[in-house]
Amino acid sequence: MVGAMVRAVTIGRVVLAGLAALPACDQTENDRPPTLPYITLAILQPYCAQGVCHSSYRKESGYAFDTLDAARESLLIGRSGAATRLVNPDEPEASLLYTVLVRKIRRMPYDAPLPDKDIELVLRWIEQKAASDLGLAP
Amino acid sequence: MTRRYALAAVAAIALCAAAGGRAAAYPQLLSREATCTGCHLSPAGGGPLGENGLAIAEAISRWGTAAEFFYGKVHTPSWLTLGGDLRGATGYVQTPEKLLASFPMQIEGWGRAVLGPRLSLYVNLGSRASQVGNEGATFAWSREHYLMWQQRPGESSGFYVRAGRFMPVFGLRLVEHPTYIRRWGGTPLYGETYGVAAEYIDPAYEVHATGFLRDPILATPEHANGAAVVGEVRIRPRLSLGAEAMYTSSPGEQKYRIGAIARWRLEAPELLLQFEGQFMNQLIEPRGAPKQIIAELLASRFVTGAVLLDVGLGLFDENVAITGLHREALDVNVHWFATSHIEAIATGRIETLAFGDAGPLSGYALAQLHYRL
Repeated sequence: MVGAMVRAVTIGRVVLAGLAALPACDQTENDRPPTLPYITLAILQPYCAQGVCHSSYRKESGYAFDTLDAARESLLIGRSGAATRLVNPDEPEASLLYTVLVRKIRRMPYDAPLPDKDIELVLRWIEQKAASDLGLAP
Repeated sequence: MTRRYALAAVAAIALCAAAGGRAAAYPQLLSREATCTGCHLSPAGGGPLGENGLAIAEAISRWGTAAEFFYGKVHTPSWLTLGGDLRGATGYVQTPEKLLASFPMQIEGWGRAVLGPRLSLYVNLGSRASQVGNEGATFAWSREHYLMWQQRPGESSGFYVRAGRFMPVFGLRLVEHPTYIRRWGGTPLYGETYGVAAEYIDPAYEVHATGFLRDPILATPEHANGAAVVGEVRIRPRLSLGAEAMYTSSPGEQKYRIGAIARWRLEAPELLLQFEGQFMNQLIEPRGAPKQIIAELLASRFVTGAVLLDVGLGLFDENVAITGLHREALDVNVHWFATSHIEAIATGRIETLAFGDAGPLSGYALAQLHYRL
């Protein structure tokens, strides 16, 4: 029993020490990759694809972001006209995907506003990579 | 950041400790004397209450009514137990748009049938938001349905094996799904999967191991296959420590989580402190590996016989390598157990992004009513 206690305390100390040390790691500015997989799996999926929102199950407003395929399909809705599409590489700041993240009314995600740097990354992706990632390049 | 967070933690614990009263058994008050199976039939907690759970539900309520199904007025065969939960909320939400909102949260019934000396079947069924394109078949569906084998029927310790659809056993297993350790911690709302769990409960320790596969029928939020293990050792009568790990794999990504949990029941003032801290490495193909921290510190205390106060602090850092990507939440819940079936809850949250430096303030103040059949 004493051995088990010592082992448990040792494991707990190691785990907690590791957790406590992490925030002290060197931090950098926003150098994350502006790619569709990263935007989808690190931002859109965890923040927007909750069970009753933009999941493949519920597809609120017709959009789903819980998988890469679902996100790609949703981002191409309205492909025939750039004005109705979620992303508009010609006018990134007019893209609905960007404006819903920053507007005052009905801002998304409705229960957990995104940090500024996530919004910056989404905008950077629309500017730099959305056209090629979605096959929209002329 | 660390200093401000430490100050906030101290303030939260002080707020909870300052309220007078006593601690008592409740699902959030696990200690050496009360494992999940001390009150619930499931080794992971939640769902049907056992004999002791019913007695406690009656004992802690303001007007201690009979805690059985429909106050014991409706009798079922000895092999069948029925129950259910109705829950709704109304109040103020800031998203940051300021709104008044009312919404149902849970309309769910369940049944447990004893199939043999050691074997039982549990099924719940509830009204849910339906699946787009499949509304007729999904306006109601079952979050959980599983077969359970129990080594020692009627006791709260021993081996358990469950197979079916249920939430992977992981972390503190709080009911409150908005907490970061649930929402981003591997057990989100509707995150149940099909799996097999092998669990062992002992007064001194418990271990749960779950292997799971994504639902092949419904496209629910959890799209990953994986495995989770969590163990907890009650190293002193009032202190338990545990460790956890989870691996999940889904198209385009893999997630590795490790974490620690702790429960410490203070004697004076009587206060239960619970902590869970997770570190997650998310591998995104072809490039990207955000390392995340998800943590919760929760202080719980009965301030009068029927009123339980929870004060929680949540931290979620979605990428520890980048500044300004963490969020913090202060949660306050006041539970009033009016009868053994009726619970009124006042729940509030203030959430900041990097302490206000990275985005708008959000939160809510809701009144919630819960009726247990």
